[in-house]
Amino acid sequence: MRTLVRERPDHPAPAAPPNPAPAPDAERGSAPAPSATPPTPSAGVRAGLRDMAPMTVAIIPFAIVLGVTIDASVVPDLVGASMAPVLYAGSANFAAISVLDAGGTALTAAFTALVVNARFTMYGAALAHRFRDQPRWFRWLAPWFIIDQTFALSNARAERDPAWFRAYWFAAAGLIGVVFTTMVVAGILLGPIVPSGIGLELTVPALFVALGVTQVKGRPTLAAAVAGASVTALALDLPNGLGLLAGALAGAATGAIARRMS
Amino acid sequence: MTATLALIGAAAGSYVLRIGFIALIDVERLPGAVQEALRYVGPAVTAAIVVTSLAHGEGRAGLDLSAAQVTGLLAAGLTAWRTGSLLWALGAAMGTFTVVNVLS
Repeated sequence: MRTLVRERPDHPAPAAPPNPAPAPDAERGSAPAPSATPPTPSAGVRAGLRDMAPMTVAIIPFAIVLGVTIDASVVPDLVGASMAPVLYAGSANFAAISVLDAGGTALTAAFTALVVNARFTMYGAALAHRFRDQPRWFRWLAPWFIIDQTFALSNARAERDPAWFRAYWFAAAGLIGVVFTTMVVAGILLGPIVPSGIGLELTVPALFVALGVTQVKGRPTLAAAVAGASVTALALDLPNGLGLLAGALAGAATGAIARRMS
Repeated sequence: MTATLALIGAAAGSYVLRIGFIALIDVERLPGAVQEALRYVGPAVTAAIVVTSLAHGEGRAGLDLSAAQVTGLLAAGLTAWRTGSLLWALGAAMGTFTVVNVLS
């Protein structure tokens, strides 16, 4: 049971080279050293599976509920089940199915899913430095698997060896993709099998609270997290997940401002 | 057919969103202030996801949290802070939630 984020004090500069120069801000000056484990691909696979395992457990109830929703909707089961690995984004899955179930067109459903997934643009920009030294095939294939979990975990990792990162990325993305798809199919086939009232709805927020705690390493990151949560809460009534996007933008801007002031 | 077209459109569009700044546009060409802000996307998004996942798509009305939920989340945060382990944090949250839920 490996500790996750101790080795990563703050988000790296997007343009950071493979062997980054000393951090310009005081926060990162206290960066713990990267893991002593050699950054081999097999170590990357193990780390990816280990880091993603609790995230995967947390999304099982969500995936089953999605499967139940697909089964009860106008969307054919086979198409609904295909959405999990092809679209590879659970929230957008839900949004598209709800639009289709309400009589929406294919264009409206696709557009709604894209609005929900708009944050992936930001994730890609923030992760760009991790992909810069990767082979072309990886830079074109790997972004398919950008979701909240893969972004958050890889963003919290300090290792910079390209082969290690490829192994880490595919192991983590593969694990959650396979389990999520399997559980969606289970939800379609078996119906509502998850009992209520045992706190399963708390798994996802609890995991992201834990991940957030390990990411906060100084005033700018704390300011970013507080602003992100606050603005999202205030903007929750916006449609199609725009509250999350507003919170993310406000939090990132607040973190940058706080760093300039500190 | 409508659902299939929606799936293809959503998947293709999402791929473009994901790959934009990795394979199509050099992030170094963004203004310095934007690059600076990108450093803080991680903690900002993580905190934002906590809020949206608690609301369960019900808007601000969904943030009416029970004592068991609040203590469960506190347990997750404290455990992660002390151990750095997501798995221990998840266990602490679920255990605390169950205990407080039974007692209240």
